[in-house]
Amino acid sequence: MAMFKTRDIVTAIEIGTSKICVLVGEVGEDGRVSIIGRGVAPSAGSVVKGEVESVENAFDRLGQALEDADRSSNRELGNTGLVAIAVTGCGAESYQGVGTVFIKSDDHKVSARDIADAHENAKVQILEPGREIINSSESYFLLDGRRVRHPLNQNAAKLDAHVHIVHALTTRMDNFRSLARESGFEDSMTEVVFSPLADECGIVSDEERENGVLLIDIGAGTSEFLVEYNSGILCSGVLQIGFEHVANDLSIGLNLPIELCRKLLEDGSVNHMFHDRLDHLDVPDKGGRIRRIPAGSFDTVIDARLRELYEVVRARIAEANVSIAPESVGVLTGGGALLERSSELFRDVFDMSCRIGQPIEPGGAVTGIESPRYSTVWGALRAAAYFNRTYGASQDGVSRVINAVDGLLSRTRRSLENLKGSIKV
Amino acid sequence: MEESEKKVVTLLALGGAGCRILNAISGDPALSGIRLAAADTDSESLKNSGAPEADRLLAGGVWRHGRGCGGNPIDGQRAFSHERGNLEKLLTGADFLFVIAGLGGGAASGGAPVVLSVARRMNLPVFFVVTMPFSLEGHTRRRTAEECVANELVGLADAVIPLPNDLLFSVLEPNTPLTEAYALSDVEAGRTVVAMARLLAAGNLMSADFADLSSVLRRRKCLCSVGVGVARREDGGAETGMQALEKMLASPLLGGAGKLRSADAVMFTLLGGPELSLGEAKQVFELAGRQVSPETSLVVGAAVHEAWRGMLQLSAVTVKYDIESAPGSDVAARSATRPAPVRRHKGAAVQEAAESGDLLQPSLFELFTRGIMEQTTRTTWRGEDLDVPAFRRRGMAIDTGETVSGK
Repeated sequence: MAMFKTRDIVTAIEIGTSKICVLVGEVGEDGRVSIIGRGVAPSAGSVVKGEVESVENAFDRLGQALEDADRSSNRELGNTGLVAIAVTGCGAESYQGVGTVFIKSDDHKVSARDIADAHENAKVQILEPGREIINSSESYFLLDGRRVRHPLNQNAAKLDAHVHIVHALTTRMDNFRSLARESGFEDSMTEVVFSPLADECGIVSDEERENGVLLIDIGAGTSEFLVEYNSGILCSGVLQIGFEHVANDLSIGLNLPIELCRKLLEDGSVNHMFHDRLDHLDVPDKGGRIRRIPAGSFDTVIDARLRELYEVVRARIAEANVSIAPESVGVLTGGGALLERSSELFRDVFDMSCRIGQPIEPGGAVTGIESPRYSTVWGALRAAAYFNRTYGASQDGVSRVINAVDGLLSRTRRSLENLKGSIKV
Repeated sequence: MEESEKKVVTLLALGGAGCRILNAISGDPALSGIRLAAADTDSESLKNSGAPEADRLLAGGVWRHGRGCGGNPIDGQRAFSHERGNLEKLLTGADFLFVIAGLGGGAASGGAPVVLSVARRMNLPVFFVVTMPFSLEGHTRRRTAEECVANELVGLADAVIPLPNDLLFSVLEPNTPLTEAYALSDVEAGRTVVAMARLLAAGNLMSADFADLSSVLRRRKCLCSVGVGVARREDGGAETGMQALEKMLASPLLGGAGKLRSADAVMFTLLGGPELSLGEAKQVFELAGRQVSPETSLVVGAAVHEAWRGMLQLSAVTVKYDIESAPGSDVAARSATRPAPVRRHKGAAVQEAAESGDLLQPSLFELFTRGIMEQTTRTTWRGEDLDVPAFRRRGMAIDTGETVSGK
């Protein structure tokens, strides 16, 4: 008799300014996810600066991407468990909350419940009306004032959880959620993941998490950033400046059509010019003529824009009262990372080393996502795999601590209730 | 060698920054024979301006008590409007008026239009050399400064030479304290003024008819930039002229050598010590002239002064006419052409210039264009509109290149 083992399927969706993509993955025994299907469709103006501008248009594009993903996964999309949606913009902001719990159990051992409660208590800051928490992530714990990473089963009278909390505007978030809903995914099975947190899941190494990392994702419409140290996220955010701004600046500065500027940036012409130290670039001009533009002009325009972008990120991190640990390394990702000048300027502005982050060995039959453009959706898929498992399982490769509100937590509570008294983790 | 008639040049420092700049250069012997004057709403600043007491004008002294106008251009204008009579007295006897000011605050931005109107009434040619605030000083100051230039000065003054402080960033270390940055701005502006005023005043080696340039500039809306390069003979030897040229081209306020190539008119001024020979001057001008396109009107002038012994200073003032202004356009027409902003950047005149492959000089109207971000919700940060190209907000000039083949 054939025994059918149901596959553990999860899905990730990213609705971005330049593209909408869907990844379908299968979660293996060990918790690792491998890609079994993929669909990408150009956003074609339905998303601007990271936010849904035209719901109808975005819906159609998403539909296309979903269909492609379904087909390439051999129709497994319908069997999906959790769906993670990477979100950005939406007025997302973050803060560090602290939640306290007194350990009441007789043996004074910290239980999983205590940790969950402390985490919950950290969400104290009253948000402005119209805002909701979308993600929270444990940065570190204090046990009777002593800093620890794994408080479970340790002895203490008091547990403080320092939690990184991301909140955003509900109405803007609803745009993303309704797109998923209309596409056939129930609310109870979708979770949102703030893009930089998805990036962290997808491309940051454990070593980087420990020693400190500054991650910047330069997308088409937005750029996201994240600072992590000692495996705790300290700061994250988004600014609505992206690679489109670089193209726009070139278009205005050099009086070239925007399409041509996008092309020059993407097809490697600009990279080639800088790399080989050419002193000009010949571009097609009106009337079939050729215009010779000095390399310095590209330099000036791109430099000014990217430097400013990095400076704004730096200022935002400072505003959050976070300092970047001296041993930190930089990780640059997103489409903007493909321009060599981006990482050069990163090193210059932040005075730290910088590597280009992209999904590595994503596994699975479907390839073609080994590019910084796919870091976010890949990270969202890994997050989906994590969320999909019932809480209480051991760590997997994913950052162990991203939690979503309500959905996961209530599931957690329920399962904890059931397992009370017999937890051994 | 011709001796041209001595012209009485008056240098008027307007506002706090203007007075500071004047103070920095008032000791320069190259300014001997040039009348120095200062006008401000702040009595302290006037005292420290370096202008002789008889030539200081405290505007709004009675009701502001000499304590300035708090950075408010409306108050500044009000204060100066009460002083028209005194301004006229101050400027009597001058053949040329240079006004040096730092725009963005109250006295200079508010007082400039008043000074201009008094000068015009007296038929006095007036050149404004004004510094434009650093972007980091905030959106309000920038706006005040830009509006003053665009709405009040350009097209009415004989020449307006804006010196965007932001251009200085290219020569400043990132951690430079603000006071140093301001000091550098003062020095660059001061050098410019000294070079131009000196040339005007007397002692031309060659006939540089400023009146020619002036009549060409008058009433024509134009954009100017200035570059100044100083070289020492002990460093350069026979190459001193070349070095001065190179430094001038690299001068942050010039905005790049492309400015020379694309200008409608350029004025080169060479200042040197008594050892400066006609031959050397000609050689320097020849070299400098190669940076300029054949269609450009060129005005050259040189002056010698004992104070410049062992040094050579080459400065260039580039002038580009606003392509939309017709010669002799008057104020009424000017108001009509002032735009509801930025849609115009695709206008016919701009298209034409683009087609001919010429360098496109942004008109002041285009300063705030956001291109494809036009219809999007603005992304702002600390008062700045980040959708406007970064290079534009920093006042950087871009060389758009030239056509290299017909087909």
